[in-house]
Amino acid sequence: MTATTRPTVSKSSLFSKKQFLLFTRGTVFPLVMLVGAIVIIGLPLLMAVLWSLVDPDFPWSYPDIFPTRLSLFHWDFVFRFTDITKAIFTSYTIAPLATILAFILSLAPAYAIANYDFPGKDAIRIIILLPIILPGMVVALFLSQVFQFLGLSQSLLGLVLGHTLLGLPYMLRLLSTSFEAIPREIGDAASNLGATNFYRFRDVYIPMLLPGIFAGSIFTFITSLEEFSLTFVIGTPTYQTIPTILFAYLGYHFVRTNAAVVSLILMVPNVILLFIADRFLKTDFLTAAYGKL
Amino acid sequence: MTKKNHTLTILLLLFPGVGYIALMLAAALVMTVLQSMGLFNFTGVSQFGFQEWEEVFNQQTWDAFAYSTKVAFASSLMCMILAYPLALFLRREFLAKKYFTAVIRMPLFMPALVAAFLILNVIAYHGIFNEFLTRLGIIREPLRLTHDDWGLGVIGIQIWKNLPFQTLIVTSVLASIQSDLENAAKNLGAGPWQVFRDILFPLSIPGIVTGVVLVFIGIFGDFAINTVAGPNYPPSLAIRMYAYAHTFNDWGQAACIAIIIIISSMIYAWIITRVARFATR
Repeated sequence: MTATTRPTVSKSSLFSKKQFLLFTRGTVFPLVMLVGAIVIIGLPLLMAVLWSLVDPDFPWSYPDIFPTRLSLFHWDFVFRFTDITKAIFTSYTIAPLATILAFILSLAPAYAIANYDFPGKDAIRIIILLPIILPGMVVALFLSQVFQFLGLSQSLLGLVLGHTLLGLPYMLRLLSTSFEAIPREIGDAASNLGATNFYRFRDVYIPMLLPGIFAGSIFTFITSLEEFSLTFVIGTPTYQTIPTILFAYLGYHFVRTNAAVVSLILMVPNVILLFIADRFLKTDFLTAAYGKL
Repeated sequence: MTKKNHTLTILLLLFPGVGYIALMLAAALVMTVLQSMGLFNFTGVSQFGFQEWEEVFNQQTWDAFAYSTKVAFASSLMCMILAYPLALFLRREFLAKKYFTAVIRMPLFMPALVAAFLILNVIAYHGIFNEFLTRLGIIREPLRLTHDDWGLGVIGIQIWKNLPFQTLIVTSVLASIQSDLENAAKNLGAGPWQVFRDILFPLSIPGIVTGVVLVFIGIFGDFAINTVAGPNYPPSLAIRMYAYAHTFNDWGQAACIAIIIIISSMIYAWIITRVARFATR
């Protein structure tokens, strides 16, 4: 508890050994850790930003630690000469549709999981997690075969259905945790006072669920934006999303500067959504989504 | 309301979300099994039999299997070794804890491909990591860390990407351990090391193992990161599976490898759980 107290200078103006230890433990060590974390996480990000700003007339190569000249040339190039605008449009069409579908599909099961006890509940919990546990490429490849069979391959509907599958685990978990947090008596009281199921749901449950709905939607949205394997197998070449474009720049046609631009386009909204969620949600939604699996 | 009616209500309520997942995954898995048995062959003759399975166990598949296993064990083990002290550190209150937590959580929201790209830049042949080490005189020549035969680049990317997830799980498991036990032990004169060894560690293992298993399975079946940073040979199992399906249009072989990935993931998960139980006995 004394961990954050700063040492006071004693009369002889010399640190005692104990004060020195406290200072190290409470101030120096956390600062060293913070700087370490900023370097390990921030340096790669800084490099990506710099690579996206390299001026092609002054290339950034071996002995220079930093580029000598910065320009927006590659941003301009990527937007003007590649399919990125179309891919952004596709990504941001699929993500909201998948989120809405996942929400509609999750509401009733989340209510049931939170409010009823029934045999096989643990098995249900495991089934819910399967889409994120099973290796992505395995699910993608053989779901694509099923979709081929049903005529859903290379279609926007197929992509939305696939992305919904991968977002459902987060939506279901976050919604059922929020349902569990609502005291049973409140719903019963509303029923006693004559509220029908519809009004009970609309006026009592939904307002209390809002944070959970918000968190679940953000998770599903981000999962859909990030999804690569499924889009790659089911959607390309008809539909490109931001991750499949990034994959092209990282794999067959490795262009570091373009990859940097596309990485930032893909990443920045995610990080912003994360901070919005962190700011507005009181409960630790990350732990609700991932923790105690 | 009768009992039977009640069960029906629950089933109907569960159906939309849970049924959606169950039906889709069941369809995909049934398709995998049938194709590995020579059925549902869209490009050739469908014939039931085990010839696909006789073909799949060759040297290249074993190399891919060994490579995926090695990378998955190395990365998930390193993740746990780094995550545990980090989670213990996060239990305390300290200066600027809020910022520290925010910074270390960021990779959680990075897509795998972006994480791969970010780290590739740093560990490239003339990247900042190699430059730093050469200028300090620690190494004479830059290290080849991307597309290296050992998969070191892949391991580095996986650790960077999965460490926040692992730390989050360890933190939430440690938080769920009642502090009474710890306080009681301290009152009885236990030092920090003893508290850790006899209380925190054994009680946290079951929860942590779940996290390790999830990280392990994710890395074992990885496709994207190995494609952009992995060695030229051997490929990971998922890359080999994809190559069979799309490059050679041989879905029977791809289905066999898919089943190998799933079954070995389950076996490894079982082994990790057993080892953890043995360690805390």
